Amino acid sequence: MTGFSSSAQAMSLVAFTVVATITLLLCVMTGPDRDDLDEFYTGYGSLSPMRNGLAIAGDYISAATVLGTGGVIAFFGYDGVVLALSTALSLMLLMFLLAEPLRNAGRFTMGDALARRMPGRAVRITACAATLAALLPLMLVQLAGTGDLLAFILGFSSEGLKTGCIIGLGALMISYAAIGGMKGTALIQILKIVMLLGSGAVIAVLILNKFDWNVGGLFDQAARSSGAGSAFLSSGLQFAGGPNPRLDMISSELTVVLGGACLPHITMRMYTAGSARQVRRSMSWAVPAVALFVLIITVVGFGATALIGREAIAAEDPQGNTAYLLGARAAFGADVSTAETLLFTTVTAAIFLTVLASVAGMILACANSLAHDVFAHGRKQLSPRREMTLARVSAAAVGIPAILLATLVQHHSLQPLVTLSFCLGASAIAPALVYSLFWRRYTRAGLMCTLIGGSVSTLVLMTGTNLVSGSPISAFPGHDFTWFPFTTTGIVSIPLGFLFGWLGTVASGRGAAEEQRKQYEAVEGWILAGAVRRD
Amino acid sequence: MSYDSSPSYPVPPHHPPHNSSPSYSTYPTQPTYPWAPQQAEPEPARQPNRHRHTALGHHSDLRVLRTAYRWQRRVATLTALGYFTLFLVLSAWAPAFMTREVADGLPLGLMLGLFQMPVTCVAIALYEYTARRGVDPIAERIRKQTELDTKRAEAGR
Repeated sequence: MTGFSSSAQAMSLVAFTVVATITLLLCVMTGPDRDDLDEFYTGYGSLSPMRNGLAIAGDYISAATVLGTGGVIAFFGYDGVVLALSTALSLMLLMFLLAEPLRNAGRFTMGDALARRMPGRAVRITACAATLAALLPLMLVQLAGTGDLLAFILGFSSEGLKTGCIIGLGALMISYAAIGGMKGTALIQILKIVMLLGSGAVIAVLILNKFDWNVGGLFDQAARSSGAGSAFLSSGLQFAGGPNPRLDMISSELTVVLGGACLPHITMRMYTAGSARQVRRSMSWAVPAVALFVLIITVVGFGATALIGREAIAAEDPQGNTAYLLGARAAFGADVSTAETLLFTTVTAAIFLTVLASVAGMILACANSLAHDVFAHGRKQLSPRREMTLARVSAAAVGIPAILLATLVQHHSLQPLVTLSFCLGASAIAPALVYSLFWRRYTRAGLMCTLIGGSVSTLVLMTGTNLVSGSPISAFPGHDFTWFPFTTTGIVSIPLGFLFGWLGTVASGRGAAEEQRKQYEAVEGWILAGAVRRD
Repeated sequence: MSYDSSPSYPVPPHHPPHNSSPSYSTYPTQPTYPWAPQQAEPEPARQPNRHRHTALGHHSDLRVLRTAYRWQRRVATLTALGYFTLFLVLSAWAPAFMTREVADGLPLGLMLGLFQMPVTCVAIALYEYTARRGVDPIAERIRKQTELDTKRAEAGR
């Protein structure tokens, strides 16, 4: 069961080259052609709601979601499905709660949205720091996973070659972000989500066909091959072993629900829509696309376990990151025709593009924030041309350290980093956005307390979870210094994030809060109705 | 799920109070729909003393919009979050209930979970529909009003 057939490997290599070439070309062709900030940062809101919606879905379904969630479903069954459902719900909550006011309040970055009511350099710098802190771990995970993924698909095992892959693909991702800007990466995201959903749907149909369209039969077979029996079809496998597994499960899923869609590379896509209505209509394309993907990954994940068994999946990768690919291959059976090899190549190419596109989107979010919030709002006003050059240099300034760090962490467990990203999103960014868009007395001190307090408490609590030490999948499996009895920090750090914001606001006194209330009323028409967009 | 992009939906009618229910009867969670205060007021645009009343109408519009948005957000968010939390709690503390088989080999929990996906699509359609009926026209009016105010202020300078 090691590796794929040599013809499939050769075809995958050709497909990867083609995908990399075409996407780079797309970026060059559609990138901003004048020195126009609006075009670079938002593409002028020129995308139709359907395209923008698909780009949002593309940004949202990262490689960590496809590979990680696929693995969790294949290993833990029910708990994995709940994780996938949380992911979809998160985007729906973003649509219901934040998308429209966020679009009205913001212009280019999260810093803009927060500084709408509370102008100031400190707010912007903190917003940028929070953006970087939340996205860097997620970028590292995907970059570091790239080497292993390519080694698995193309069938090499040299460590030097893996590191080379990380560096080469990292450079490609930086160029996407720097050359294409918002619009160029949007096209790549659209291409990616279409390929991913298309190839995934075909695989899901093939798997269901193998079980004569009997979903119950698929679940039964998966439960039998999982080695866990009927426990595979009920909650509790993933978090078994902790002191309070049920609470752990609920807090983990709610952290994903609150944090997933608040991450800045998703919220930045809200600003690309032309108006609040356009955002809503974009989201009504994005959420069903993600929902469809949840169904696909459920079938493929269960199919992987049902068709090849848990041991075979764990033998390839103890984290199960290759389960999606193994399930796709198993759908074709033992001997494959040329057409089936071609179809499987589409699946690998879609995964390859997913990795490229999601990291490029994250680099772009970080670079925009760094250039627009920190450097351009510095001592003097920059010309748009300078700011755009700055944004492009920032893409390299974010991307290169990320690549270097990724080569360092590639042999460690990556699970803690994913969790860290979601916890930071849920504990620092979500409370800050909710408060600053809806609470009229929220003050600058409250905002700083939310962002800093939420992040710091997450980071501190994180060291005590069993993802950092004391379990085989932790970052330091050889040590055991756990002191926090949960897998994610959400159960404490999310309430803390909200509490810090409230305390900061109360502590800044009645006068400041009253001032803020007036300030909020001045921009309320703006936030709610999108009146007077430009200053 | 494609909607036409033209902004030419009907501006919310100034129904007489007894007649205002049919178009909003799909929204039972809004007992006092926010048109009420507005109907009591004179139509600002038709007033002779325009400037003063414009400002007044603007503020009341904003209040109406705030209430409409708040209701829509609260209901939508709490319903989605509440349903999912209930699902999580049932999965964690009532495994016997969730593993009960509904059809051949299909446990109730997984069916409920996967059933959420079509429900999601219906919820979005409903949200989009209510937003088009309840929120968009007011937001549009406020935007137009603000543009007018700005123009007038510029002309007055």
